[in-house]
Amino acid sequence: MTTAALVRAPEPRPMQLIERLSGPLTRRTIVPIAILMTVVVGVGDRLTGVELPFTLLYVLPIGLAAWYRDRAFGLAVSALATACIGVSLVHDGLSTLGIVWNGSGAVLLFFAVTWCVDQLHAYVERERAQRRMAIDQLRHAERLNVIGTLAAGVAHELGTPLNVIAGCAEILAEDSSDLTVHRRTTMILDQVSRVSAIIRHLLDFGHRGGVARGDVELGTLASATVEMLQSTARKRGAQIVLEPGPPVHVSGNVSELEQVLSNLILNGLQAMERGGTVRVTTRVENRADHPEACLVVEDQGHGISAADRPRIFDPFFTTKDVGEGTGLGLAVSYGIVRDHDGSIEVESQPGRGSTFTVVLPLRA
Amino acid sequence: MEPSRRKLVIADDSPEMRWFVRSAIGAEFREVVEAANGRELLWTLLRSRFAAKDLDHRDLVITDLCMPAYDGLEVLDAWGDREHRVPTILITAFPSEEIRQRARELKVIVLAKPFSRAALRQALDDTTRDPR
Repeated sequence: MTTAALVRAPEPRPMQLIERLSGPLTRRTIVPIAILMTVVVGVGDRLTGVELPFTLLYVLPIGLAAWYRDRAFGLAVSALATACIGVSLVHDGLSTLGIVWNGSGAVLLFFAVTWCVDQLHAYVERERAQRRMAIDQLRHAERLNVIGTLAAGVAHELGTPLNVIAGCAEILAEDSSDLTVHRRTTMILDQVSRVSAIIRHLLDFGHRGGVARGDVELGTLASATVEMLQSTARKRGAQIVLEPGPPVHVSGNVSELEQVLSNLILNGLQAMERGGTVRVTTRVENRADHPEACLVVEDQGHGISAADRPRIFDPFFTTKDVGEGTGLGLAVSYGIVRDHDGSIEVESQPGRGSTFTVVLPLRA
Repeated sequence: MEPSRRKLVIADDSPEMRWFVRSAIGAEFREVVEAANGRELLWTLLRSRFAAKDLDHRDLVITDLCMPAYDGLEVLDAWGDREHRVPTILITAFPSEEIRQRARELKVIVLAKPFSRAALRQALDDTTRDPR
């Protein structure tokens, strides 16, 4: 199912009902409700002559219910149900056997109802999370498309003037024997080539497709890329470790996928100011009932803060120092992986490191 | 010294860019013709053919890809230099794989903007070393 279809799909009705019912029950309201229910049941027991320990049967689950926020609704409802049944049953007979019988029946029912409502609640939560993720991805993809088109246009317009600026600087340098002029024109040319590099990145980002695809073995690709970046890692006092894995074949463009992996590894290295290890793993994982190729890059860096998390794939978003990064690496990587019908997943614990997982369809 | 080459045709909608190309390699040609858009380029190319002064390997056509009226590749296609006798350089800020592919089919050298004067001279040399 495409993300667009996911977003348009109407909410199933049972879920709406559950959401509406559980709406007022928050962590703040559930505790007073639980206490109130316990008091009511306790008073009822007292009036009907049943001993207090019976009431305590309800106190524990309701207390637990209040403790687990996500399950609060399920537990509270079932506790209420069993409490009512329990109170009505004790009116009929107060023999020890009756109390034990009613008590265990109530407890069984309690857990049965809890389990059912809990399952429903978890289902609703799962669906909502998936929907949120789909909408986020769709929004992000749309934004990237717009930015890509815009960037390509801007980059295109800048090509000619940049060319002329560089040309003029070159002519000045050729015509003059003045050292200062040479220094200044060299500066102009350096800056022009810097802008040109950014433009090339932007164009890569804005327009792709039609690039030759072939069989790519992720392990081979990873080992070549790791080899290439090992000296960079050593200079930063870090190391890159490639975990050996079974061969994983995908259909793709080698140089583009290499670009993705080297971007991820370089980001990892740059995130580890005090050195450490970037771990690269290739494997096949079962996701949503079918196997997919995974390329995992794990660093021990400073991690990504929750505030930065939604923006890391946006073009020009960077937390690196000026001159360290253009903020295009991850955006370009995202574009490449998207063109390969894959996705990039991120897990991060601020202060402990981040894990980027590139998920790609296996080669048929 | 007499320039070794005959005619240089420069097509670009930016006068500055035309000046840049002319200043870099114009001295090597006896005649330089400029075109400000695709239509002018097409007319220049066709006129030289009708005037029985058809271009050949001693000439050079440098054209921008994105131009008003027709784009560079459209013109080259319509011009139909089937034997690829005339050395041709296509300049573009945006050398996508598709454009490179079409350029290969037309046997045209692609030069990505921005390029230096040295790169332009190098491309000119390449056209000489690769006689059509």
